[in-house]
Amino acid sequence: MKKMNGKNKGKLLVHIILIIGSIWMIFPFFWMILTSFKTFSETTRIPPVIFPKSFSFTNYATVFLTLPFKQFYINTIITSFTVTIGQIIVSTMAAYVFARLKFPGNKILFFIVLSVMMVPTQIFIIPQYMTMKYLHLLDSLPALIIPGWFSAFSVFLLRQFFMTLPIELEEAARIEGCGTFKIFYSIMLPLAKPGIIAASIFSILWSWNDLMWPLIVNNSMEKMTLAAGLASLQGQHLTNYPVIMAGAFLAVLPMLIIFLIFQKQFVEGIALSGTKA
Amino acid sequence: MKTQPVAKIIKRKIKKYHSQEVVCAYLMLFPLLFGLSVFYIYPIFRTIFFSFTKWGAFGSYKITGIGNYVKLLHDHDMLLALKNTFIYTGLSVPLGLSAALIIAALLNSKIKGLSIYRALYFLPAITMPSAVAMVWNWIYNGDYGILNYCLSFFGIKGLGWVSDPSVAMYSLILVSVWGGIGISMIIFLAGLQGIPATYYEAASIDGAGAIKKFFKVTLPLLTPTIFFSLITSLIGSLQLFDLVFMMIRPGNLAMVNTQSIVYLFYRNAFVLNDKGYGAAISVVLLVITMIVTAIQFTFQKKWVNYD
Amino acid sequence: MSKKGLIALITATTLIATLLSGCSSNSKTVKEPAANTPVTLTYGIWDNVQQPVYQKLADEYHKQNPNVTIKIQLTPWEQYWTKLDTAATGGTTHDLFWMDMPHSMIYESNGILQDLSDNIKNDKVDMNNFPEQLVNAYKYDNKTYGIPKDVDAIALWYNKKIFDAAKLPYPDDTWNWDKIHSVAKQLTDAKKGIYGFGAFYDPQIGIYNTIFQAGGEVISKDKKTSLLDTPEAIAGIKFWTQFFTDKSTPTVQQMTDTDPTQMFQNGKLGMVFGGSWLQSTFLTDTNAKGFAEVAPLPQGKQKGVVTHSVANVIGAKTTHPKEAWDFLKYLSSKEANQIVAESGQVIPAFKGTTDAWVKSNENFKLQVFVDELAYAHAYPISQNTSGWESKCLEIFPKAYAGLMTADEACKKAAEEMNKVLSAN
Repeated sequence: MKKMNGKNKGKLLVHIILIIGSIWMIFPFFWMILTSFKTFSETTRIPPVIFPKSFSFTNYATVFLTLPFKQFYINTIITSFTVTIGQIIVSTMAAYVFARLKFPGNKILFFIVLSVMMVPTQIFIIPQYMTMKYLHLLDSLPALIIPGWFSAFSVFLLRQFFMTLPIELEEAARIEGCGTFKIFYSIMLPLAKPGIIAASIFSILWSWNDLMWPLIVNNSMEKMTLAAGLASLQGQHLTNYPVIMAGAFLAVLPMLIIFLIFQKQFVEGIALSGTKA
Repeated sequence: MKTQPVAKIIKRKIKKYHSQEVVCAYLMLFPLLFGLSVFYIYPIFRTIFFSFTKWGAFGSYKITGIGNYVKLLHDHDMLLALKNTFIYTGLSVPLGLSAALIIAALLNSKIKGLSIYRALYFLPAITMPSAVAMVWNWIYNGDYGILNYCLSFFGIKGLGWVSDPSVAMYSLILVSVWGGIGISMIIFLAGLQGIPATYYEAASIDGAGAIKKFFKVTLPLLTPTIFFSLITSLIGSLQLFDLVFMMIRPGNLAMVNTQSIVYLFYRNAFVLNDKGYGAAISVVLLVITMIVTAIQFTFQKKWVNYD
Repeated sequence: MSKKGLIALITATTLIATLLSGCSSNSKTVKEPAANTPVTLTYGIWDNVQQPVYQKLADEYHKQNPNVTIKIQLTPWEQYWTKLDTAATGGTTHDLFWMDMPHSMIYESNGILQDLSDNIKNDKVDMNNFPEQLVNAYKYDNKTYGIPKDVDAIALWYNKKIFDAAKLPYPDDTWNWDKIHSVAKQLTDAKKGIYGFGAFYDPQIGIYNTIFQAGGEVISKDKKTSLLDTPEAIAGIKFWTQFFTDKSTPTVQQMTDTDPTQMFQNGKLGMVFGGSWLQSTFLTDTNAKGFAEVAPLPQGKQKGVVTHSVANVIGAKTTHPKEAWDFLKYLSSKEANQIVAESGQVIPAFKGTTDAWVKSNENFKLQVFVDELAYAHAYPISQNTSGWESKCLEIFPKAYAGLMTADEACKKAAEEMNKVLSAN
């Protein structure tokens, strides 16, 4: 009897903490959506107007009328998915090597890989632009995709995951005569599923929201991604915030759905790693 | 006593490289190294080179030796930027990690509505940055912001949270912790999945309650993931720029206490058009970050369990 | 087995699709254009608000020249200069694009822009149709690199309702500095949160105007020395610090937290200096539309106002110089400027076409801006304008906040500005 009450009290406390936290988390998102229904005048009011007088969808209509939004979706989906697939392939291989394989230069090379994260990202703009120019890839989708295949963050994340996997499995496989790549592909990769999912979420997220690089390397509106295309709604002196918020919400909706799908995989992961051990 | 001979055996084992393994290693590493070199490492070397030049418009340059670095040593702004960035890093990293860890642990427990909570905590990560800046600027507004409105109920007269130099940095830290929870939460959730259920079952059998399980089972096994978050948060915090850029506009008197190293870099390279000096700032940041990271890596043996 | 195969198939397909989409988009044919080969010109702009008007011009030009298509490519203002800098470094700027005065010199002096002098002479383009000080702003080494497309000016926006409530007459062209200071004090009612004036720091909207009104200059004619420490410039700054002493303006901190223009739109400020571009913002805001009006800036020792112009320029590396020049000529014609004027978004540069702009918004006395152009000074620039403007931005607000005197601030600003000027 006592144990039951204790457990329920604990659960209630957990809920309370999580709910308070949630309100704090969703506030700006909620604000973004509300603003998307406001008129321009309402967004310049002091003190700010929280709820629009009327919930009209005109701003959403404007987004579709003034921008090739459908094309943006297509571009962003192609870019994000291609970046992620390529990045996972490149990163998992490299991460496994750094995590498990013994070879000269392991530590140094890994550190060099990490060092890529230790400089301001603006220093990459001009050299990458010149490289794209040299490859005749200016104003194209591959220009957006290819640099994204190489991510130090992703490699580091997956390396940590590989390092937590029990080494006995590999040793057993090696005794049976499996080659390194086979071990990687058939045994290690499936076990690292939670890590791969996390890395994928980050990759899609980063690629989905990337604004600066698409604007610099691409010229035509048809090659823009959602984030970059939305930025073009910012005028020099006059910015129609409600329309941008409407666009931002539309842009983010797929990300939310992707996340909801993916995060279910997290739960399945428990069953997987449990049985293996 | 026993450790000495074992250490010698291990050393001998490590020295043995299997050729098949080495070849495989380099082959599997090649795509990453090639791509990183072309797109990221070459630009870094280029930046290091230009830090020794007076880098003019559109690529023209004149080699000036260590001139930029000498200038850096005497630059009061750089000293301030270092101080600001260290304060930011020193506070936002531990706060952010702790908050994310707690939330992730709560979200890994057996309560109802987990998917919904997770999605809610993920929302800041996908909210448009300009919307985030606008909302927080409103919350922090000195005259009609929500924060001061709430404080007024307690009779406290609130400050201009992003316009007052003495508090602006702390206001930014709060936004950073808020924004980082969702990202760190994903990493920790993934890490938590890697802890086999059998460990928890064994602990239950031993009579451990939820909190004990957290400290005896969860935390120790989560250390590789925590290490990852620690390193990436440290590196990311030292790179502070976007938050300052969005929330502290030029002309804000609070800039003196919030200008970060990367913001100083941006200002010198793109506004003051002294790209060589900006390159020198980047190099200094790179060296600082390398040292901080290297220290963490050497210390990891003391607390990280790789199973 | 099938799972592996599926993953491999998807991977292969996406990789192939990537490469294919890349290959198809890089057919840039550079051949000698025969008389009627279809030509596409790219035209880079930064303001999406003006995009429809320029699209109209592009379509109009295409009707008259069917073999030339103009592709307008918009890069938002925030990223425009980084992108232009990158493109210029890579030699891949658009055929035509917008240029502003602060950035102009560095592009002109490094050969990124096409010298238009010969074209102007040969085709007898009459540059007297544009304000002289702005035409000169786009000259470097006596060569012309850009033709102004629009102009702007700064005037005194005021809130009729606040004036009515205080029973004071509206500002007019007889106002001087003493008058505006005293009226600002009279309009201020701190308990209601209303201030007579919004004294925020901005070079173009703020201090340049008053420095000119005091009879001073910002930079020497040879662009080598700062004139910010001259007595006239100091007087120009003291115009602003006076409001803080009188407490007839919100504090620097308040105006950092909340945009002063927004304050004005919400009836919290009696008067602000503001650009001609605000007329469309105030028109769209149902609040401001009702109470906003505009008057000429008050005069100091003399009348003074700063004007700026955006110009159309041609990239030096364009592969279609003839066609680009022809389109530029069209953009600089009376016809094109008339179309721009009718859209009401910017004041056209072509003298005599401003009436349509004034009429586009009858809510406000927009003629005020046009009249000011007669005595306007060109926006002060040098090779690295943003360099010293950024330094001033750090220094002058401190004087506004009372952390420095106006004299100290001017001295420091001039010091920093001279450092930037000599570095180039």
